[in-house]
Amino acid sequence: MKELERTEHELLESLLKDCAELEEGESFIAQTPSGDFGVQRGEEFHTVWAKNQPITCIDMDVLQGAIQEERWLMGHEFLIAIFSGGYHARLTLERSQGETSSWEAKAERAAIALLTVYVACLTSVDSEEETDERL
Amino acid sequence: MEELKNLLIEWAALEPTRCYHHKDDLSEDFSVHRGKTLNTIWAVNLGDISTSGLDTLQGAIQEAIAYRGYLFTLESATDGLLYARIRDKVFASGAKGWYGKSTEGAIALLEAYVECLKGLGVWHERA
Repeated sequence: MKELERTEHELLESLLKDCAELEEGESFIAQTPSGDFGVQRGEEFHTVWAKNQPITCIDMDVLQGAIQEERWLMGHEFLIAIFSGGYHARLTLERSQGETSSWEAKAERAAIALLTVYVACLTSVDSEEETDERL
Repeated sequence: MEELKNLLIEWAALEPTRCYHHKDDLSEDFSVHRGKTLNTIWAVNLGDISTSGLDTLQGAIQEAIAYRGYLFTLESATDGLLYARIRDKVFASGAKGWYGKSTEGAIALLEAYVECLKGLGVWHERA
């Protein structure tokens, strides 16, 4: 597997930051003061991206595993699929009265596709909660 | 873990270029190809497979499926299990598919992939 391209690095960094910030310290993803990103996976905490070092495919595997394990996510339906152009992820959130919302993303890496839908879902839920508070 | 061990032994026998099983009087290890390297994912004598070992295993299976040009889905369900399905593009509209399920994505995918490899063996023998 080839290394991540620059644009993929930028996208991944932005997604990891968003995820760490959206859950205000309660996320399974954390950024250290030095800028490294780590994830909680099982009982262990793994540094998946040491700043200024290329992220490896093994790091991406751990990131994918950590998202799949995320307890909040496990209560909802998600899907990862491979198609000719890369990976496709879908996350479905059950709303009240049987309604559902879903988010979909495509990427060359499964971890990025899955993280994209996860952040999109969190952003949406966060924004709804803010609206409810204002009301 | 016995289920995983048996699946890994089967994978190593069916596709030795991607999964390697080493066993002697002192140790037993499983390694998989991921990216350009061979990675030991489980030293059986040291205990259960680690979560990062499972993650590398899942990545290696995904890579193997992609290399063959096949499709897979891995889907979580509210029963707490992950369901894997692999299918051959050539028979995308047909019923040809292989399935697996487990609480771990890697094991669900491996179960489906081992069945897929076994199915291919039968298919090639017939061809």
